[in-house]
Amino acid sequence: MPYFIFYVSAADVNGCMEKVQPLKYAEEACYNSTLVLKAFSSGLEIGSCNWKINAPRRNFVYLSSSIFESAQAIDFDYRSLQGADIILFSDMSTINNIEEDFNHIGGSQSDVNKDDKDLILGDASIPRPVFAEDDTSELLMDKCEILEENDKMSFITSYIIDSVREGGSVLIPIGRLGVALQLLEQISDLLKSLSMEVPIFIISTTAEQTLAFTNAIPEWLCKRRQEKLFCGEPLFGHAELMKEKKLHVFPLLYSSDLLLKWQEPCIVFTLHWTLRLGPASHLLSRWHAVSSCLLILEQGIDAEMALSPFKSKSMKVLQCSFLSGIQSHKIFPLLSILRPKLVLFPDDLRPLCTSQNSSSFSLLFYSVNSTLRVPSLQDEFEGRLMTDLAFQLQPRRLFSKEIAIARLRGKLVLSKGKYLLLSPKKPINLPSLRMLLWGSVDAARLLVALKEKGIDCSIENENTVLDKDTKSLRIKVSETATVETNGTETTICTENGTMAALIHETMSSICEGI
Amino acid sequence: MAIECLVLGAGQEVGKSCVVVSIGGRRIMFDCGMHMGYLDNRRYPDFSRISESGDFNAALTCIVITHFHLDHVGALPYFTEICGYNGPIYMTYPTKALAPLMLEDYRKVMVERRGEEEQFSFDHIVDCMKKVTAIDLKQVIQVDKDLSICAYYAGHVLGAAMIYAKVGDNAMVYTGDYNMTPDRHLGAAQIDRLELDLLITESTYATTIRDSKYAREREFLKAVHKCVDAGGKVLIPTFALGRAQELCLLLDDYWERMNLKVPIYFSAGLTIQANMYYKMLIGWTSQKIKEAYGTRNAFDFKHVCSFDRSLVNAPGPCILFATPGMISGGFSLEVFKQWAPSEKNLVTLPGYCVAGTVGHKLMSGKPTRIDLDKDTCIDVRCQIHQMSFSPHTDAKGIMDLLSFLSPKHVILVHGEKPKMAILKGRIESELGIPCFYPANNEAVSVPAGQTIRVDVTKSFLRNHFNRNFNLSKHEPLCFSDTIINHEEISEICSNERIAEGILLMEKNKIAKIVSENDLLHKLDAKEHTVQLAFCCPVKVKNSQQSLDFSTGGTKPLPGESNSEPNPPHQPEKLLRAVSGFVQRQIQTCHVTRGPVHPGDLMRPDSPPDGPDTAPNNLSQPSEMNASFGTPFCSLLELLSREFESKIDCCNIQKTFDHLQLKSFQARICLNDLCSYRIQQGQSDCKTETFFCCSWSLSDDILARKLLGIMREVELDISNIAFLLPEHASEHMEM
Ligand SMILES: [Zn+2]
Ligand SMILES: [Zn+2]
Repeated sequence: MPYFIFYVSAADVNGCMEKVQPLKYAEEACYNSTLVLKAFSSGLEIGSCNWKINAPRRNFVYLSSSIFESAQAIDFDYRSLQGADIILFSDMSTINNIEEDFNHIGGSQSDVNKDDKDLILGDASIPRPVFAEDDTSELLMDKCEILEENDKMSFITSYIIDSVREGGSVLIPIGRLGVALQLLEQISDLLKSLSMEVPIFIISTTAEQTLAFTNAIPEWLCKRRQEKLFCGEPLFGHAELMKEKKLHVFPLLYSSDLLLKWQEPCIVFTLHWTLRLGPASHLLSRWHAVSSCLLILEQGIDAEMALSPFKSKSMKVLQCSFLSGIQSHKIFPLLSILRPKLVLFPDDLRPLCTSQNSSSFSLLFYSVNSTLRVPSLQDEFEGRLMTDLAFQLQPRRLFSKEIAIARLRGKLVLSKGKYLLLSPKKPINLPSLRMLLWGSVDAARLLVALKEKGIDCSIENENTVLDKDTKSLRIKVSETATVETNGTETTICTENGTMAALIHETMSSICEGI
Repeated sequence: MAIECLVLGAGQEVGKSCVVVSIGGRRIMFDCGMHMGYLDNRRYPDFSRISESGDFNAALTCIVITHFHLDHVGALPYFTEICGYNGPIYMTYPTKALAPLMLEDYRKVMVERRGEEEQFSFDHIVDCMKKVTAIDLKQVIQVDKDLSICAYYAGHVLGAAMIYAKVGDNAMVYTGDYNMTPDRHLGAAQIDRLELDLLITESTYATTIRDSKYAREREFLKAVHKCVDAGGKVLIPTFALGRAQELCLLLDDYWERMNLKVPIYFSAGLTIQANMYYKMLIGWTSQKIKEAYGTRNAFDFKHVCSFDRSLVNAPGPCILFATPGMISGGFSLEVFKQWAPSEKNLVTLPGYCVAGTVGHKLMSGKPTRIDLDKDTCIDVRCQIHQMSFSPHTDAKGIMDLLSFLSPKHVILVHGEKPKMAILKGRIESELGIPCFYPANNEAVSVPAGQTIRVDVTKSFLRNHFNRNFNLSKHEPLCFSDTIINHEEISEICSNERIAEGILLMEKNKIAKIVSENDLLHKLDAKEHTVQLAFCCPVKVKNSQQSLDFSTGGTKPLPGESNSEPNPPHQPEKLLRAVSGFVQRQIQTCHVTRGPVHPGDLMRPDSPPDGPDTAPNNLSQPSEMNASFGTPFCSLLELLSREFESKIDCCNIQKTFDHLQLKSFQARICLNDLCSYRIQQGQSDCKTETFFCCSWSLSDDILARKLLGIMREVELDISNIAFLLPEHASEHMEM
């Protein structure tokens, strides 16, 4: 028996799970008023999701393995992922197929080679095959996918039934829960329609709880199963099967209860899919030499390797692959429907990219263990201005440009990644003077303007400072003040505040400012 | 923009809940209930008030139903199938599953037992439910581009929800019926602290404060136990859903604990079917039940047996759940007729019965005879137990919810007028929230704030946060858009801090809030800096010895002046040091940001390194600190102490040659020709020294105040000696 070290205890697992904040699909989780996180179903498994994350100036979608139409879970909710600037594409399910296709064709299919620069800039002006959104969704949601999966399931199921008919038992290691549940359902349906009585066992310490759980989570299941809720039928058939004593659930392989019910041929769902752990390894040692027995393996597991401990193996092995992500031909139509500005794409999947199919967005390739710098796509932060505050402002049109400007004072609040400007509790005393001036102040004009205000003033001296271009002029204003200006800078010198304000006011009347 | 709220039902009454709210250009109908007390057209809300033309699809954006009770969903099939509403309808999963059972049960009762013409058929219910979108709690549903809704747990019955609706900046909550305390099968209502313009709440128990529910549950169990112990039969009339399951949980649990064997029956298949739903919807029940269901589903009742009509008169004790709840007819009335005459038996009554029902008659006093019609009368000798636990919140719960959410306005529905009036008074006086309780078909309009979408520049935010960091004596913030910084920012934002900037509006562009620099950059303009300056005389005295201070500037350097017979007192020595330093660093007497003014340049004894580099000399403070800095600082120190004692400021920055408060700077000026001295008569050179001051316009008020202080004070330089030891090391570090 292989020896395993358990790095974590049950208490560790529980302790960890206590720190987890559970979310519903499309529930808004706010981190620190700054990040808004939302999960949307990915269709891969019950509860699996893709993430949409919004932060000030940044928003992105983390797109993991997704299945458009699922037999158990809620379908892939891709429409809710629309409108993000960046998509981090991390569905690696097609990687095996790529290698196969690639070897097959000889590596020349793609026009994007490894040597190309890393960023492929999209250009919307390049004509490309235009999919109307409806057409694309049709392509994405075509029935082929689920029909294919159903065919696969039917094939496996009939193969299993054939084995049992010949008196052989069937071992199904549990990998993905959804697949196991679907197989269980199809097998029992077929047995029923053939009026065959073959016991089905599920041997796992968590099976009882898991099965109970699946029948109490209608919100997380596909439309077809939700309909069962509304009709008052159980969501999954296993409760009924257990009641009819067709399905037996035991936590352990060696228990007196199980031995009482045990009868071969039988169909056993159990752990572990590596065949190195749990009841699966025991049952394998019992059945590996029986040629009528059958082992169902998911693709990705090396059957030779898995069965290598058993010298004489005559047991049949059926390897099958189930859909575990977005099919490669749907990746780019999907991305184009999601309308991102930038897609971060795994370097390993680069062969899938052709410059043609990525023309509406830019692509940036990432690979394991290397940091990718993502350029900023928004210069500005998103904010909102309360109208009651806006009404208090005094906008002024600038004659030079088609621009209006207004001084603004408000209470700044950050909420859900957006800045909000509210009216402060106290009235907002906007400065009556223009605090910021720009452009040059012409001394002669200033002199005239001051005089117009009835202020006695004269140019005191004219001085050319070291910098030849700037001429510094000094104006004596009555007896109490002087103004020194060189065109770009002005110093008002007086002890009298009122006089200073008056001079400043005069200045702002002869140059632009706010 | 205002939020308009048209109450079509449950206005100053309980029954036919229906409120139509116009918010941000959308129109939402909350609940679509029927009134159980009326058989005429008052039974339904007056839908014609939504749209005179009857085009409800155009008039409404969507309908949201809070829970499966008929006073909240009863009119829905009528509205969709007869009135023709075709738009979106939302309700939670349990409500979508259970509402059709309630509707069908009611329809049957109405048609079969009252022989009434049916308002809607079974097919109508089925078709209506097909139009419903089921929603989960907390899931943000995007009804359209602008309108989003979200359901929160309301307790009350399985699947009951409070509904949050948001359009742009305006948000509201419609509570439906809710319970703020958990009961045997449901949790308490739960909601986030939302910013709300309006809250519409039920007010069934507007003035009641209820004590512990457990005491009343015990009472109920005791009464039932006593009855069956004595061999009696217990009739529990209930609706098929909700109360039936709650009481059954209670009894099943009690039976288990007390090891009782008396059978518990459900009269209707409906209730058994309902249990099936409850088992699947266990995720919507109380925490306790949820936690246990992995091993045993609490709705798999152990002591419930299958029922047969023949069992009604079978000997021995039993418990029977029968519909309808108020004994208004149907099977519960049938059984009541047979069991009521025996004093051994017990009939339980729900908390609320509509007038005209047998239940209502039993509640009012203790009748011994009930005349059903002219031919039938029943002898009532059985025991009556009225249950007083209700799945509605009490007044305390309503007030708790309101103070938790503190909405800007409150509207009360689903209550009795006099009690609503009292509650309104409490809400307005205790919480200061304007409150309304319109009658049916009345509309209330409440104001609601609105915002404009703007862009906010980095530099504006940076200025704001930097300023606030400085205010709170933090290190200046290195600002980027990483999370770490935002963590600090959101902390700051919790206090009311005023941000200053400029709103920049351009044709066909989103308005932008910018900093001054952004604006200049945008306009491609250079700032014209305006500085204010004044070289201010300050009186100086030496309380120990008179001192010719003002001549320091023209006297020989300290090293050469040691020919005096008596060694000078320390203060004098220090002042000499000061003047010596100033001699060398004469260029320091100019406005920091201002031009190098002529007065400085004309000094005869400029240092040999020349005027061009002079302003930069200040960048070598350590050397100067060592030789001259300390006494120099001390004069500034004296001044700054004056400032600190006269105005409320604690953040005066001092360096070896100047002091600074905000943009206001002051440094000692020994330049007699300083261009910022405005000669106003002959100044007294013997007792005055000059501080050259400069500041920017934004701090003008402060600067004027400081100048005023400088004019009034008299600095006592004999204090410098006392200042020196404790401050010397401090200044060294500057
Ligand atoms: Zn209710
Ligand atoms: Zn109600």
